[in-house]
Amino acid sequence: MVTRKLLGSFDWQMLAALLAIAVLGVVEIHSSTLLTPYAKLSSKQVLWILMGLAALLTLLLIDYHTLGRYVHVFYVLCVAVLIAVLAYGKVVHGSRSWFGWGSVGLQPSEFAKVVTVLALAKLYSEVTSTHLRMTEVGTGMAVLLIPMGLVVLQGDLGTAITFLPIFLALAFVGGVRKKLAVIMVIAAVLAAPLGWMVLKDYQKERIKTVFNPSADPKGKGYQSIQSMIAIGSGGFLGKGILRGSQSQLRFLPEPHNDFIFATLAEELGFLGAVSCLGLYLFVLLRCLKIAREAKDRLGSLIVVGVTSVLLFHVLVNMGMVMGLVPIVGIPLPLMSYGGSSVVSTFVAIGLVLNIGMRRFVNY
Amino acid sequence: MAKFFNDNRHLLARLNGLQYALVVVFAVLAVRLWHLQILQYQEHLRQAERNRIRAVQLVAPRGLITDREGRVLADNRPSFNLFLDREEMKDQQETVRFLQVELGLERRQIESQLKKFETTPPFQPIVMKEDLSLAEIAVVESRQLEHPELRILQEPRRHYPYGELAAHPLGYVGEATQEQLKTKEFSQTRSGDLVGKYGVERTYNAVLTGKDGQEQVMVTSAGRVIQALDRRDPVIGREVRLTLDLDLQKAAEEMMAGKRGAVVVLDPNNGDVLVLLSKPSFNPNDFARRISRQLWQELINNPDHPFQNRGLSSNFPPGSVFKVFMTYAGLEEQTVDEKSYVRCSGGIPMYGRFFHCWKKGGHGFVTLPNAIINSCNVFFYTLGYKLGIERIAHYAKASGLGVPTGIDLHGEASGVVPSPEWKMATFGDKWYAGETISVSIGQGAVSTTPLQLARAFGGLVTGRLSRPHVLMEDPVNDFRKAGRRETPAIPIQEKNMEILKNGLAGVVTSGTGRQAAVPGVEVGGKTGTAQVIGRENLAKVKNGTFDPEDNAWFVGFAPKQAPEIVVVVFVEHGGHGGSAAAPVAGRILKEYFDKKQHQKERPLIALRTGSDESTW
Repeated sequence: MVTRKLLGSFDWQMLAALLAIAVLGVVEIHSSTLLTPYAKLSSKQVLWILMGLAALLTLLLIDYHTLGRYVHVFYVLCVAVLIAVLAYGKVVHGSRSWFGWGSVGLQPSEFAKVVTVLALAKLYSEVTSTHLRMTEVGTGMAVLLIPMGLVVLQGDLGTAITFLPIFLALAFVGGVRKKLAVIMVIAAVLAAPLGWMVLKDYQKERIKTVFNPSADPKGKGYQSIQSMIAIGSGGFLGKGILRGSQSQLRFLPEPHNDFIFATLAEELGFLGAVSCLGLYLFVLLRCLKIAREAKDRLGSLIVVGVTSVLLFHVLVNMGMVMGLVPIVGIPLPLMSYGGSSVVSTFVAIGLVLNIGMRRFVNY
Repeated sequence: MAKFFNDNRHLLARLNGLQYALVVVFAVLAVRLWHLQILQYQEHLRQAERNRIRAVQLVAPRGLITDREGRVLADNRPSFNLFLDREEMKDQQETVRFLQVELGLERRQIESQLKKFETTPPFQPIVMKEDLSLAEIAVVESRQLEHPELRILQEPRRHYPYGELAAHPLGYVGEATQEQLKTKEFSQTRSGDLVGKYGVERTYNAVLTGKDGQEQVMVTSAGRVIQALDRRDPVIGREVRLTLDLDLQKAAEEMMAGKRGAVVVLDPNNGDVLVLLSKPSFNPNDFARRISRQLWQELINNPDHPFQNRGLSSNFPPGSVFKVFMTYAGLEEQTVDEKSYVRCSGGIPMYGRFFHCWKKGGHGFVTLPNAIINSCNVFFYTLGYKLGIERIAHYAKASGLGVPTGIDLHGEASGVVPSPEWKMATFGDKWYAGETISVSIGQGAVSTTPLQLARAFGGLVTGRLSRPHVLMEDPVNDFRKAGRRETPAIPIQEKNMEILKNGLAGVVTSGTGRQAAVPGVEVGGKTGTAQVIGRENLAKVKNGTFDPEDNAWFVGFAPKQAPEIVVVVFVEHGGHGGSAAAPVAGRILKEYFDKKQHQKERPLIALRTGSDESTW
């Protein structure tokens, strides 16, 4: 199935950029956990990366059209798993979003995102008119809201929010009318106070904190301030691997996880942080290039969905560690420690590479 | 399959829009990085440094206080104290709750402590509890993650190995008060520091105070110390060697156990105070930092006034002891001599009033020596009558009564030597001749402190007036400028001194002070039994609801030929001087001479020197 021609169209540069990011992640996980009980995490992360890579390569073998054809099956399976987690999952950090076997945990919501991308892309690829009709917008929202709602029910608001950009980007690129888009934005703004009421107190505090972190430097603003101190004190060249005092001495919360970019910026400085930013930009731009060059609408839309999820993660995570957006517990793709996140990201990018690889193929 | 009903160009346009958004977002992130890492670099670096480096104050132990032979009277012992770092405190309510529930502190106490340190820099930890038990240490340590604001520091704590012994001269330490901090004396002291509050601890506070050290440590966000970076060791305060003699002090404490009063033992030749005790006493260990409010109140409200140093802070009528000074005045004025006599018939009428002798039947014919030996009042009434108050006051003052001795301890009272001028100035009233008669036997307005009496008495038996002090003339105390302590001469003729000393020796060999005798040593002394009916109790005495025991006195010296020790014993409401006070003096004198004999036979070899063998 994978011919020489296919391999010739494979985006090796993008894979290299991905691996570079992943390696940076491993280095910083190593650096920030060496002196802690979590010292084994960096080698585990290598394992997750290898698994992700394997998943990615496996996925390349299957034509994405085949995946599109069976998307209903995946979607139903996915919803079933999310319901199962709700019933049988274990609670980590206050949300019931994990399946756990001993020390190994699986977070189905990470994979649910990929399935949602596929489902929505498939849905909007079959639209025949220039603009999306209301019913199509409504169906799309339903496709999004079922898995997203289940994740909200798990109590994992951070992950739930990452579902939103999938719909927004696909509706945008898929052809939602500008007028409708504006109406939706207004509706969202009007609904915001309602959402505020749904939020838990600690979540409200986090949002307030973004606007005034120093109001309570030892309390809610603590993480935000410590993170900015970590990044800022890195300076141009950084303090060096294993030398970041903020992360080494654990002033930085979760230095190997959600705050890994702060750890990197502290130890590798502006130079390192901007290089890392460049790698992400490169990967995302490459994704958009593949979206443009894709053989068909389904391919383009899948890539757009994946790109939007990645972009959103990068934007929110980095914005969070730099004190631009509220503290939301979402990982930095490929860098933050975590099997589900790493593997699902590789799978998602596997889809993109799959599509890019098949751009010249005729059926 | 390529059926594109949907406009492909439309999709591409929107993809371009997405791409622009992407680039903008990344540009924003890069600018933010520039802002944080380049523009605000210095600021963030400083904050990061402060984050991980914490200065820990290392409290310097106070200098040792030792007796004249270098035996430790005050040292330091380690104490585990609980501190609160307000910078680390996330939730005050929770912290207060923890301190209440787990460490049994009172809410009021915690809050007042927080209030007290409100204006101090927040990075300065404040002490919440001292001397934690092992169980309490374990509780705090085990909850360190939840309560990074609580820290246990090991600090030296003042320790007085003999407890109540010599508590008054040694004094105690405590937190400097806000008023004290404003004075020049405590300009180097910070809020919360321990300073000497009383006694030697106060007088020589500057010498005893060490130099605090500091340690810079690298800490985790939970406050756990990872590594010490820089350390300036604390320097122990200097040793202060006192003139007190532990052996004699112990003997005096033993004899005075359960009594109220004071003992002063002086070397009349140089003013060394060998014993200074006041009863009832207190345990200065209770004050090593912040005494619990309750105990403090108890001591303050105690009707026995345990804080008062009866040895030097209270005036008491000297009673018959004053006859020594009457004799001195009479001899010098040549109003009397050895052969003078009066007839005592148990009392004498003067100025329309009958003045009693203590002996109902009277002493019959009494010469001066016998008058001293048997403490005949009538003899001294007569002498007072002849001398008049002015001359009595003159000689009393010449021997050092009525003025503070200048001892190096705070709170000294000055005593009163009454005179017509004094009475006019104090009460605006004229002097009545009858008062002179009362003063002649140490009653009425005349009053003195035991220390003053010891100095004056020593002056009469040596001819020189010393200045009492507790600081030893010793190389250890080289902070004190060398220079002889002045001992001005007292105007007393040699022969008069002999007559006086002979009389005083008679008191111990055959008179009222026989219980102060020491075999093999010629001891001289005088008893005193002073009536202590204050104005407030006069009515009660009259209607029989109050029966005060007299104050008992004994002043003594030895040996007769070359006096080297003066002992003053004062027992409040002790009864007769001869039975209540003289035995105490006898025991101390015996201890002194036994020790001297012992040292002559086997000289003391190993004297403790310096503070190198510091207990802390």
